Amino acid sequence: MSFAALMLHVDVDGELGGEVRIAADLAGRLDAHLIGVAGWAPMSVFLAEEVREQPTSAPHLNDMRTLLEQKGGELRAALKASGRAVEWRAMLDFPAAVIAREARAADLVIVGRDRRSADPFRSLDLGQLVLSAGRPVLVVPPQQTTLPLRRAAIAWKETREARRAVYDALPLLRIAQSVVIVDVREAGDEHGPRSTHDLEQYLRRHGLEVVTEQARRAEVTVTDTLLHVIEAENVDLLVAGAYGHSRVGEWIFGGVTRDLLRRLPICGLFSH
Amino acid sequence: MTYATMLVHFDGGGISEQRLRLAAGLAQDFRADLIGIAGRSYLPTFLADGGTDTSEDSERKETAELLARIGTRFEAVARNIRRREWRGRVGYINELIVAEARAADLVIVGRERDPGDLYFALDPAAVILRAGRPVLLVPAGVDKLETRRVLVAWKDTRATRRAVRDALPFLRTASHVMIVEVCEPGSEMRSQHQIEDVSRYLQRHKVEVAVKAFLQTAASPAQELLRFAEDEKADLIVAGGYGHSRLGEWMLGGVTRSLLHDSPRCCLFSH
Repeated sequence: MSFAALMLHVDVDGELGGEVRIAADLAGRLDAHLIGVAGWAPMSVFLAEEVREQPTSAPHLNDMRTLLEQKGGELRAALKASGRAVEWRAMLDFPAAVIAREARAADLVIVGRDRRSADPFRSLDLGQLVLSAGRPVLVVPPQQTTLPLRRAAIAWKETREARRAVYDALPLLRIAQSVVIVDVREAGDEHGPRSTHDLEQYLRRHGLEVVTEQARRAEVTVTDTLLHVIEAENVDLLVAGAYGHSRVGEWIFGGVTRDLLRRLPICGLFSH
Repeated sequence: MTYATMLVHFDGGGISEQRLRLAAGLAQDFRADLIGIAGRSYLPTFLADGGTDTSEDSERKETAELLARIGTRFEAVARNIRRREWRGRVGYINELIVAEARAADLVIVGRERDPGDLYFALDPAAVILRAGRPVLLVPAGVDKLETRRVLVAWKDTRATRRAVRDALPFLRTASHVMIVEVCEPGSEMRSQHQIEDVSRYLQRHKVEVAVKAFLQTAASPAQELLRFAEDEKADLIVAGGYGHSRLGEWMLGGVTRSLLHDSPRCCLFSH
């Protein structure tokens, strides 16, 4: 159940980000197969009318395919130095839809956090991806180019999403040098210390040795408390449940998840 | 990585004891730890007529004794598992089992209640949708599971992608893995492409897929899957557990519900 295949998203816009190096490095450490993926949805006739453009025409579709292939070439070139082969999958569809579907072929999805374009047809909708992939998503903040895994933190809460995140993160937690469970309690949270002891036991049964616990009262917000611990403890990976739901066909993140995603200065592994 | 810990719902009755035997067998095969769990809640005072403090006290005592008796039985049946743990708790079983799932990699529950068991309140739907772990559903009368022949019910959805990955420990030890999709006419090509892709994914996890097929039916997809499972003598069906919460109630999707109610074989559901 380790990670045998990793899927890396390549943005249609801008330069390749630090997530490429992180993905190559992880693939090396885990001896995993690497799959690059990109998506760009053709604008429908219906939507195109407003901007008075031709409905997506065949030459235009060919241009799109060419750009996607070019991105694949860039990725291959960037990975050449690492000596790792990469499989390339590009499709004319919304990036989040493409990745979620293709995620059947991988154990972990790796994406850069920031969007280079506001165009929803070519810009990744992170909420939709995390909530619909059925795989953990490693979100890499801008400028981050390494994931040393010296210290990982689990943002613990007695919920399905947090339980899922822990289970999904096991292959990364096992190669981390140490793990800290951060139990951030908000007013109304009833679970006692038994919950985190239990989790610690669970992790030990999977061979994790250095596990510590920290119970914190939420300071200003849950995110503030987590960021505080991350800094004080030199954490380089946060494992957290991603909360959200689908409303009228749109996937919407919960408040804490959105806030955390925006402000997290390190890599985050999110599961729903 | 494998299933290091399994959590089984055991509440003392005969059906439940068969399930515990199955769980103990699995724990032995996977060299996993086994946690047994039961929950009993008190009747709310307003239901117990003329309820006084004394009657509540005696009920409390009775509940504690009952849970201890079930625990003793758990210890006896699971005695071959060196690392086992009993968790008999006062509380609603659905809430308990979902929260305690944090301690395990696989949750094992049943769907039928024992005759005369008035307290049975386990709702498999709530467990499947809320545990955040794969849930093995054991039909009554099944007390052994050797997962040699495993059938994966493929569908291009989040829940099925989850189920495939969650089932890896079973798939890796199986000798005959089958992936099938019940698909609509016209979608055979897509189905075939996806099943090939999943097979390659499984290959990277050292799982060889013996049978790849798509089925078509005018009747119910669940019945078609069950028929295929019967013909192929599958030991286990792996499927996505679809559903959502409506007004605080946990509702399963159609195929999941039929599999859950009608399957004479064990099913592994992930949400």
